[in-house]
Amino acid sequence: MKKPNWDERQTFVNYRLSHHALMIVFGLLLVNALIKSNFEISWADPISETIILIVIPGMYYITRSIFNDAYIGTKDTIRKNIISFLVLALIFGLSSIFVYDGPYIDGGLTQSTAPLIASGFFVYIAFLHIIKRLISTTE
Amino acid sequence: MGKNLTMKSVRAMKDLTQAELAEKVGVSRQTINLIEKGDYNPTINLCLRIAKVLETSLDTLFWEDDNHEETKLG
Repeated sequence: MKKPNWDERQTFVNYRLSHHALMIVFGLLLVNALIKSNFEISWADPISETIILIVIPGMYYITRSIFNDAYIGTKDTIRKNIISFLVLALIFGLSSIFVYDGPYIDGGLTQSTAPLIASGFFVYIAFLHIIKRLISTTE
Repeated sequence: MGKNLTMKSVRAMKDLTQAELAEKVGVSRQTINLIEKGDYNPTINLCLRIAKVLETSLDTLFWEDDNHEETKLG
């Protein structure tokens, strides 16, 4: 039988955090819809808006998963994860250079901020892994 | 749930680190650490795997009798 990537505790923690993240997505979608329909405010381009609505619950899930020792499976290594996320951050960061046309237009975030937000998200995850590794080595 | 000092001592007698036991059982080191600290209740399947690796019985590792409880509470 193939060895599972996450053990039973990690799987349970990840299920619970996924549920929380899903509830956050529902809440954010609701708040966003209320803001848009009642105040007629377009606070961001649809692409940037989507990225932000994904990144916020994603940050919650990943932060709690990493600090509950549930993000890295029994076969994965923290170093591989850090490198992967830094590479992703670099790719999105570089791609933003070519499309960047300022942060705001008509009071809302432009589409060109989307890759920057994604890049920041991946840097954040890599940073969390580094912090977690430092904490684990001092334990 | 209190600390599982029995599991910790049996593991130490077998000269295994938490990481080594985790590797043999197929879980993360943190999971073994949390079980020993009493912060995680393992399933019966995981209890069996740990008992097999440590070559001891489930009772020895996980059964908490009244005296044991009193000792912990005291």
